[in-house]
Amino acid sequence: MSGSVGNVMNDEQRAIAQISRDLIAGLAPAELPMFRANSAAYFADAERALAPVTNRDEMLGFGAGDAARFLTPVVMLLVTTAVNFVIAEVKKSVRTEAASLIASWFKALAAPLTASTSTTKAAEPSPLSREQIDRLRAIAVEKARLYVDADQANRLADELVGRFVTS
Amino acid sequence: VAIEVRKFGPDRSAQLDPFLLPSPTGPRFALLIAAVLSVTCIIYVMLHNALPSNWERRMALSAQCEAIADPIKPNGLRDAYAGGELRDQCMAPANRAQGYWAALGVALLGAVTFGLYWTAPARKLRKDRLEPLSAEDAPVVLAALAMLCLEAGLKHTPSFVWSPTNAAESGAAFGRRGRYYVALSGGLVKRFYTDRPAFRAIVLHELAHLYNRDIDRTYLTVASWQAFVWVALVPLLIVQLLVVSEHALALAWRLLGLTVLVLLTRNEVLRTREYYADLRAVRWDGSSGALLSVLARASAAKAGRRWAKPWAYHPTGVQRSSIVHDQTPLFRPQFMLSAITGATAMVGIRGGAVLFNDLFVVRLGGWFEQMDPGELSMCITFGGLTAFVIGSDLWESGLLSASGRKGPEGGWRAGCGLALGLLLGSWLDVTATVTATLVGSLLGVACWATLTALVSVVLTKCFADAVHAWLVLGGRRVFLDRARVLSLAIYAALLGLWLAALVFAQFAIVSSQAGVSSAVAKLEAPTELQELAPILPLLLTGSVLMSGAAPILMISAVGLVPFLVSLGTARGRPGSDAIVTVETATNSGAMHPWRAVLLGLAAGLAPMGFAYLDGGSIGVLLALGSMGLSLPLVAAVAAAAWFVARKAHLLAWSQAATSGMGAGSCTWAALVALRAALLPESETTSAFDALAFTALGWLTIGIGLLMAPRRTIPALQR
Repeated sequence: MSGSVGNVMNDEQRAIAQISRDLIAGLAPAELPMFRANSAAYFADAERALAPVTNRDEMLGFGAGDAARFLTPVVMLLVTTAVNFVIAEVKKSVRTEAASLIASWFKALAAPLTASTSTTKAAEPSPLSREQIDRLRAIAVEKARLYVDADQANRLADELVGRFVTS
Repeated sequence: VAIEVRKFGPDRSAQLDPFLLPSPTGPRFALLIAAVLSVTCIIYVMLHNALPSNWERRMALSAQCEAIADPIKPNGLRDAYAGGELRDQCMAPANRAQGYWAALGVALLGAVTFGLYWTAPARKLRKDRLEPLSAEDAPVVLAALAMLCLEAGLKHTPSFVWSPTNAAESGAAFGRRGRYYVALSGGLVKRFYTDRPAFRAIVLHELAHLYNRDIDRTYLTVASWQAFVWVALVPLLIVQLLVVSEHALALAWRLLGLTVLVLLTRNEVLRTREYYADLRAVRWDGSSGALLSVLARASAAKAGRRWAKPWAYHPTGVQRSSIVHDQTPLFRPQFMLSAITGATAMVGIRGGAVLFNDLFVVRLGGWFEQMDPGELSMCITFGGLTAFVIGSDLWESGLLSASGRKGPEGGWRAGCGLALGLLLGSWLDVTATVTATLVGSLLGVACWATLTALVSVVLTKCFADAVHAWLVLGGRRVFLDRARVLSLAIYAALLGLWLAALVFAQFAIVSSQAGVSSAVAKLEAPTELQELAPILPLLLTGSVLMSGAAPILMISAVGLVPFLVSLGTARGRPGSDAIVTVETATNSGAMHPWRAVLLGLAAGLAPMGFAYLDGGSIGVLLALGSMGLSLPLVAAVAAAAWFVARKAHLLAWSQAATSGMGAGSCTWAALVALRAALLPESETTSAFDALAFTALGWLTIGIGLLMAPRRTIPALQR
């Protein structure tokens, strides 16, 4: 993952952040207050952001506890994977118009998901075929399983694919 | 903060109030910091003397000063005291130079400690990437935190900061005076939305640390330790590496031991503070359910890490849950903490003494002539701090025993711990590497260890029994604070003076082996002393108790503690505001003070009479000194057996023996005064000193008698 310079995000990162935020709003709304910081941390160093945090035994703290991890970086990893997948697939099928097509698609992805836009977007055809969607889901489950349990991995993959299909 | 008192009725399942008495954490941290300062003094003296020019100058001056002879008195005898003064004056310039280094070390340590303490919040904010929690980030959370501060009744609201990328569910209180922070992790903020009671429990725990004033003490102690490492330990290690010293190994293991001691103390105290923070949080929350569920999660995560326990800042979740259910263990004096306290005190004494003696040329006169002024002052200081720490523990333990839950065994445990700590501390003392070690003779070590153990245990047990008796017999709420402070002050004075006697005894024992010749010359009885050489350590130990009147006065002053009990009883029978009702109380074993005094007189007068009849011969005096040690002990043991057979406690017979010894010593002093008045040319203590001592001693006894109740103590009537 290429890091953003400071807080300035490029189109790809903006799209990833926006999709991730939408997904987090549904999957783990309690993480929304921390989303801005977590997404910045993810873009700065994805590996570190994905590492579980052990509750340190700190002086005058509450005491050591279980290792914990936010869902936000995991979701962002999946979204990043999905975006890269889609880019690769689109590049394969439409070589000449790929750049402009991808750019416009990022803009659509980066738009917040509202009721009206989702209805409009739902009517638009997905850039992915059924087979590609299945492959994307399988990749997402595989990646998610590295960080979460099977149930949650499946749920994350479903939400992710749903978001991409409706974009 | 108003002290809340819960009465203990016949229902023994009722919880004791853990916040009834002030926590001993403050004195404990003060003791630790004082010990660190003191050891720094020693290290800076070592650094000073590691410079060849300083050492050579000192040695040259020392040779000159040693050559100064004692002046001759008008009666033709040598005036050793005046000679000592002259030699002290002669060495003063070298000592002052050494003292300035020690003072520099202390000043440097103080400055670095302050700097570290003051900058600690800023460093933590940077290290943990903490940022202010703003209304823009989490307005609802911020509003909830403000409400929790109101609930907690905090005078000053802390600044809330957070680390949003930290997924762990944790909080931490930190800061410095006037600027306190509570840090929340992102995981904890998430918990606010998913499990509000758990969030409350954790935040209230952190606010409890603020309320219980844990932050300044903790961060000051940590800062002083860090400063000690950089300002004292590192320079010392460098010097030891550069100048390969014969003491390097001995010093290394002592410093290692010292480090372990400080870290264990700090962490043990911090763990105790966690219990109190939990209990305060539960009190504010009104329910322990949320805290217990959070602790259960924590303990499940950390199960099986026993090896980490002594180094951990927090007790395990299981231990914390257990204390939330039943606070009884908090009221029991901990053997290890008493031991660590004793060791810390012993380690700290010498360093302060070195600084004192280097900077001030003082010689004690009269009854304290043979004592080192620096050691005496430091023993009183460190002994006092130790007494406040252990005494505070014993007051808490007194609540437990007086409420009938446990017998008053806390005194034994704390006393044994203190004894072990004092012995351990004498080995960890870094000055032992450069002065003398307590290896002169096995008998000497055994004598000193026995004496130390005896004094520590008896004194501590007497104090514990007195507290117990006060709470049971006259423990009225209105007198609680006054009685606690007064008794702690007495205990502090006694323990301080006793530590001085023990340190002097240690010196005497070491001298007996290392410098018999000088001791012989000083005592002016070479042949008699040499004949006694095989049992010299025993005799010297005994003579510490009996040859000076000051230690005897100290023993007699123990009688003040039981008289404090009388004070509590005399001021009123347990009324509606009694802390412990008589119905639920266990028998303290206190006996009537008049009976105690009469019995004690018999125990005390006999050895005093022997001591007086010695006629001035040092050898006989030493022999009688050891008898003087043994006779009251025999009497005390016999009295103990008699009282124990009647289900009474140590308080009773100690009251008898000590008050009697006090009276006996006063009588003896009066006889000395009389002899000094009739035979002014004789080599006895001045009439003024003896009369002053007599007056003070009898005043002590008199006050006690005036305070004694005119009626039988209620608990004994039943």
